[in-house]
Amino acid sequence: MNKSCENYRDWIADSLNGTLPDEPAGQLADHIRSCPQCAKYETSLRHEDDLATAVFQNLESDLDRQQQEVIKAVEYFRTSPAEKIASIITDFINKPVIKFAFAAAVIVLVTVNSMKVMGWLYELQKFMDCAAITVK
Amino acid sequence: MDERSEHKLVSAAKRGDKQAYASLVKKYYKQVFAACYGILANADDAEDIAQDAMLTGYLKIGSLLKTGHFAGWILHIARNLCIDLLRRKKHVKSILSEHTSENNRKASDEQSSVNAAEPDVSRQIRKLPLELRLPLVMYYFDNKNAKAIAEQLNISHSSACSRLREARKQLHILLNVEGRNNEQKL
Repeated sequence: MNKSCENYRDWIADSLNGTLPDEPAGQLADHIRSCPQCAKYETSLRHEDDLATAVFQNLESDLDRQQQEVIKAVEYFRTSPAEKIASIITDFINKPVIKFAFAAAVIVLVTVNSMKVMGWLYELQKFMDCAAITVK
Repeated sequence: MDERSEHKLVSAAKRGDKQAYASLVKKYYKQVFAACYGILANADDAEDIAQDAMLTGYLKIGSLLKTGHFAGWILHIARNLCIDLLRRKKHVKSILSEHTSENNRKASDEQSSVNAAEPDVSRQIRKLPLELRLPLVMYYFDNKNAKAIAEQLNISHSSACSRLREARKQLHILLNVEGRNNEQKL
């Protein structure tokens, strides 16, 4: 390998990177045809490029899942004051203990009110009995 | 897919529009992951940090003053998170190295067997120095666009080309050295 082959090897790398201008590309193609070592080097670099491309395609195939996880997490965030307050109230109401306490309070209220209503009905009944006796 | 311009998406996201931010995630997640993978050279860590960076971006988007600079801003967040992780790992490593050498040998053997399962190319890319690895990783993730890499890294186009060239040459040396070592073992 002579000194100019070192320069051509830089051009081979640039060519694979898509950064080699057209004019040197033509000179490179001519050199590769006449230099077996540089031709072998170019083949090796192309093979390595294919392997690297496969590795990164594999990584890229998982990116959609990762993106969706981020988007889902963002949807669960609550950032405005109103959203935060609503979230706190909702979380509080949904606690099992709070639900049980609320149900118990409803039962007590209904029972107490039922007793009150029954008391009123009893008084009403007494009043109507008195009224009936008076009429008789 | 939200077709609004980036400027409008960022403005909407700043007002709390989650759909707008989801569109920004879809647009920039790949770049952020590429940058994280380039710095950390580990897919699992890159995933964790990239996701952290996007979520941090959502929480802190109110502090972004120039709505046209979202890409650079989110990459800056990602880079800082990567650096924090590397510092933590270094700290943990220094603590572990104070323990018995037997434990270290076992951990090293386990790491070797894990590394052996990775593809050769992936393992050798990890060995590249950061200033070469990062542009190379971004090159493969960014549909092979050296100009875009130069813009993202804030370097000249010729510097980006030079680093890519050097990265490819060093990768070739690493792969061929490993290949010769494997042949000698056989």
